[in-house]
Amino acid sequence: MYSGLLLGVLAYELVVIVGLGIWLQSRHSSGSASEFALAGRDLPTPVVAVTLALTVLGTAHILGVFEMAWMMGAVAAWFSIAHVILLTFVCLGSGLWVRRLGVTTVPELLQKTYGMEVRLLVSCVLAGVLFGILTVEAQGIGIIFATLTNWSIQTGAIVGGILGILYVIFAGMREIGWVNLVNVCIMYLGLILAVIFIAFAIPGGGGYESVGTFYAETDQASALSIWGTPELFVNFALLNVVAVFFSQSVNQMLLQPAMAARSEKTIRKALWIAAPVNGLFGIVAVIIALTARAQPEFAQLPGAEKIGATTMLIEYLPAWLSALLLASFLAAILSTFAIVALSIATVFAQDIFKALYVPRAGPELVTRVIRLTIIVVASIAIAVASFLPPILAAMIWLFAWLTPVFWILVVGLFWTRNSAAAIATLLAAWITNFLWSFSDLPQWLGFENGANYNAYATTLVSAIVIVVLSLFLKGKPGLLSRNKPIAMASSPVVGG
Amino acid sequence: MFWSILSQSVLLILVIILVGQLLGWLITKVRSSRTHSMEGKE
Repeated sequence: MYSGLLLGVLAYELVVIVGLGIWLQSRHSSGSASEFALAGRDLPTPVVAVTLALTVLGTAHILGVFEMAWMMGAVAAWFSIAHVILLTFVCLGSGLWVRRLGVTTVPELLQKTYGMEVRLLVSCVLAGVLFGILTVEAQGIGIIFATLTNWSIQTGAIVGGILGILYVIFAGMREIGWVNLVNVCIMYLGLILAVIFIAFAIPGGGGYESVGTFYAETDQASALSIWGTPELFVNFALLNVVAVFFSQSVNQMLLQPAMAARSEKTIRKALWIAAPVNGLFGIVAVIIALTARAQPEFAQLPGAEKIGATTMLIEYLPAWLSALLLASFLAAILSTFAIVALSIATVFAQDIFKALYVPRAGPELVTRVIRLTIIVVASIAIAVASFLPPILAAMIWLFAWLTPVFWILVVGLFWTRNSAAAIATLLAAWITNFLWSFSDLPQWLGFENGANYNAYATTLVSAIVIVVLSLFLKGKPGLLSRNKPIAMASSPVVGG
Repeated sequence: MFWSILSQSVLLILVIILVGQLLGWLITKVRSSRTHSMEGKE
């Protein structure tokens, strides 16, 4: 057990999270739902940028990329590159749309576009998908704690999960944003130093050149190219781009920071920080994992693909640096855990509790419901995380459920709005995903490796159904269509 | 190994951002010119 390291990591979390929480509480009232969930819609560019970058930089980016780079090589970087494409679209497209329309949740946007039935259908599935992501994040917290202690991943998830719950219910969106800003500076400083220290610590004194030589000599030169082999490119790289882009670009957890931005210009400017910060992290993670795999002492560890890279960080770096790096990794995972929990709670409080049952609920009651929901869903997620599903596979499967939402939103905002077409598209894609996952449909269609292709299937089915139905069914003009003047950004903030 | 992966990736990230900016600019241009032409017809 690395007791000193564990204490260092916990001290970091305490100083950054609690310290910033107290400072922010003294400056801003967190009583209203708009302040808690959307930080009063006045977050500046640096905070929006790093929150966007870190919201999608959690367990999958850190531990998932370590694991995939270990197994596949540098092509694993495409998980990160897919997020660069995603962030480019959010900062220049979907993030601007939600900010312009002044909505609080994605289902609320769907109600404006298609009506209550679509809002409810998507709310239920969105909450389920976000819950799935939350269980993966809880597993990630558990793995970091398990690396630092002799605890099991399950025990680590419980202890870390409690830390995560306290983090998010303290000050909400504003604190998550500011903690991200501090954390991203520390994490990148730690990563740059780690890359330098590791170069000197590699046995033989050959630095990263010796790592390259190892792969060339063992006939694995393709592991050093981000393009991998053609087969890996289709089965992993392209699949990641499709799954990440079509699901995350309309996901509540990524659009929440955009909704909280000061203006549309803030979101546009945020791209130049968010995309490189997120993308480069995955690249450095790939380099660290490839270096660890080239060292026999880590390659021979049991379960090396999961713990090899983190063990190398602890063994090769000075204690202060590995504590700093692991603490910033943990803070990044906690940040994703927190914003996912906050997103589920916001969707529940706004789209189910307030929209269906208590329409007159005031801001204080909505905030109380958000906080209570965070505690309940995060506790259940920690319990489910003990089943330890494979990280990236779980994420890609969860993403596939959201791809029809992208298509109905784009069609409904810019072309034509027909509720029946939207509902038919959602159901067609979800039935396809269900059959693809739990029946012999992929094999029947001739896909040997079909289980991985959920995102391809749901994206294709959604696009075909919504386009064909929109051509034949009559609908209202798109909500942001230039043919239809609307009073944009004039709608009141729900609960704010 | 280090510089090769890093340079490939940085270049790719830059290309993605610039292509995104270009597409955004083109779409805005096309939509505003369509709006102008429709206003002209009216």
